[in-house]
Amino acid sequence: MSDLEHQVDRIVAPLGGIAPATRGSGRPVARRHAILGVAVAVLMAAVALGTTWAVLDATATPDEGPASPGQPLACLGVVGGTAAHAEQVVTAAGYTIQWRLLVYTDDGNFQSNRVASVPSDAVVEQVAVGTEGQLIILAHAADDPNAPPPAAPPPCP
Amino acid sequence: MGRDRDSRRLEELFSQHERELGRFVAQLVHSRQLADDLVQETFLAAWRSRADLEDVRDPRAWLYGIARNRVLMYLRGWRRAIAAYERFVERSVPIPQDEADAYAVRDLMARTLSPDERAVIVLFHLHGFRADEIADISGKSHDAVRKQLERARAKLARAHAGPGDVGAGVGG
Repeated sequence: MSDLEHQVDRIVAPLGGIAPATRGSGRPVARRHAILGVAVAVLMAAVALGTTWAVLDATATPDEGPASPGQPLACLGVVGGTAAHAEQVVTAAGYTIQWRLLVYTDDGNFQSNRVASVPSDAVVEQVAVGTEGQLIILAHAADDPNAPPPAAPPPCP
Repeated sequence: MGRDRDSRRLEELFSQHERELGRFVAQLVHSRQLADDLVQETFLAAWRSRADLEDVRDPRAWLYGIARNRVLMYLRGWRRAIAAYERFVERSVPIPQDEADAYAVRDLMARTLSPDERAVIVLFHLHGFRADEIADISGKSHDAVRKQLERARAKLARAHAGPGDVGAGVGG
């Protein structure tokens, strides 16, 4: 036996007295697997719930906003009108504006980008009150070829 | 009928070697609970393959091979995440005084050697297997195991000597 082997014998010697593991005293493997199984199931349920939520969110009727019938900006031609018109009306009503420009893609998706301003002829699609009381106005460029057709105007007197 | 015989034979064989297998696993894995699980998994894996036992030349080495595979699977694989969590939990539990030295050696090996190297060192130096027997256990050539042993010993000795004594005491 070489010196190195003797040296390693001495190094690892403390491991020789270690108490052996047993198959009886630990948590059963089945229980560990069951715990992992439950964790995976919960994860999958969360993913399914998230997917369902995303689908519902994408297809839901928009919440009632300040331009909905009966609300302060209803029947003022904000939704469906130009950005310039909307700016004039909502500023007069005392709102601070936060613009978001919607850019549509060929496949029907869109991006919503926060911008400092939008073209004056941009078409307003939706308005909503933000968490700080500002009015968020979502508009798309008038010449965006992939933008959806304008929504039917709300019933007004 | 044959399965009953295989089952009995496996139970006897495992009971005969359970303590040394349990020690082998505990020498490689920090967490006691995990070590127990791995012994249990070793038994289950052996149980599933019990029909092969008839053709096995060295049943003890066969069991060690299964245990080694379970441990390496854990040391290399995704269960490290679980082990990391368990180590995190166990950090708050004081190490028993009589196991402090063993804990330090295991830690040194974990920092210095690959899982494969750790297993080969433990099999040779603590369980009395020869290099050719380890070759059977691990499915490697005798020469490959011999070289791996030499390399692992040198690394361990260097690490044990510390940064100021690199190479000290390391022979062929």
